[in-house]
Amino acid sequence: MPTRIATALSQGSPQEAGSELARQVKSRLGADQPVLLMAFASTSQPLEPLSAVLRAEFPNTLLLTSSTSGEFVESRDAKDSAAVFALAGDYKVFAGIGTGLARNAEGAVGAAVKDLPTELAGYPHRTGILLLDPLAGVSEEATLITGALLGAETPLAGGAAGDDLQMKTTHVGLDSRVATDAVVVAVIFSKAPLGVGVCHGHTPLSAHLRVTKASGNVVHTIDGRPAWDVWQERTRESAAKRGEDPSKLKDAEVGAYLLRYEAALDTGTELKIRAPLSRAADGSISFACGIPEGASIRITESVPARQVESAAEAARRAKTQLQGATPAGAVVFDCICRNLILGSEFKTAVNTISRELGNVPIAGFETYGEIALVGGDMSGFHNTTTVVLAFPV
Amino acid sequence: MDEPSGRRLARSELVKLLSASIGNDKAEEAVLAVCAELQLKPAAFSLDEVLQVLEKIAAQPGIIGVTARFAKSRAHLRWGKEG
Repeated sequence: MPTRIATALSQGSPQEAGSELARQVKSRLGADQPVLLMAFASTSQPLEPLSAVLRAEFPNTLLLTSSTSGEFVESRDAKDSAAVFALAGDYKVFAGIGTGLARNAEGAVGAAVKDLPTELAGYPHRTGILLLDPLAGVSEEATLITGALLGAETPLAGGAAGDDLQMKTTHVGLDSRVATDAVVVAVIFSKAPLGVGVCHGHTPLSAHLRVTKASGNVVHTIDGRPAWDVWQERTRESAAKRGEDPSKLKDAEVGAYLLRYEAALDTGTELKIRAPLSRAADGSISFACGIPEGASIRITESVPARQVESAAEAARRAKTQLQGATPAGAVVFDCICRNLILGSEFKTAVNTISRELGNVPIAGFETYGEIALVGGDMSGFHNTTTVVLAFPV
Repeated sequence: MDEPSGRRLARSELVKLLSASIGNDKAEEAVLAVCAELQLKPAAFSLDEVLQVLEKIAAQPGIIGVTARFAKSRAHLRWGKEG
């Protein structure tokens, strides 16, 4: 049975959006029942009622959900919407959920993967999907633990949930269950390999800076000064070109500002982007994963053209891994800060991904972090990237 | 672990196992600190020594420990197969 993929985007109440998404999926798949649904929804469509509608419409389909900061399909992107990706074909999908991620990442991931099969006769390829709450502050940790538990032969793709840049609460879900401080792990067994591609487009803005005080995912001081003071100082000139002054930001605007100017660890060969998410009253900055005290970082920025090109490159990399098969469609995890950088041109980046894959259906959401861990990779949590998970026909 | 090939790994290879998640400086610092503690020469390592170093770093809390535990699982695969 060939792969069939349907995508849809809808607005309105959770009930209205869910019903419309189900109608469009059924219309496009016809008699084919999806084996997997992934629904990505803004804070206007809380996941619990949205999941209830989708579960009622597709009672035999595994449903993965995530809250978002923007949603898109191949033809357009939107806010205050819900997007769905429906996969039909010769696949077997299993998933689990774990909670208490911030306190015990090992325990949460362990609970999510404990019942997942390691192999399945007739399906030689296994690909993992990871959805997590980034505000737990252990996104890289959870990704590496998942990668270690699934093993090096299982490529991993996924995203960190969003909340429309409120930076308050993010949710992920499995079937009718929805949770915060949680992680969802799914494995897709397939006859042919799926493709995972990732690419970022950032460049350094500052010189090297030393994290002089940090605990977990909170950076208190940089070069001995409050982290936010340093961030303002080093980004002020760039921000001024856009008419923005970091010292005049309202609390609600700080999250978006930080995502424009992310940190980068120097790994020796490339920059590893790390997303700052929020600022506290004492001038500390919270990140989506742990930042070790003593680390050397740089503050980065990106120009729009590089963001479009990196999206195309991620799609090409995913396509390459299909080993010559024609793409049928893809799920895309795309950083919210790319949307902030690109503005109205974000849809160009989305269109580019679809076009690179052969004008196929794609659906995805704007994340607080992206996950791609393939083969010999030694890190799997990314920021300001596009991650493309492509399915073969 | 046996090491039939006798291959020794340069410190840069060991550091690279950690640097993708915690940065090059911090990875180097963690490796050198453990080498001093274990009285290992920090130039090149047998696979056994690599695993010893990673085991020590893995006991640290937070992102550094998690990264080392992941690196250890991948090191077994990467160099264990070569051996």
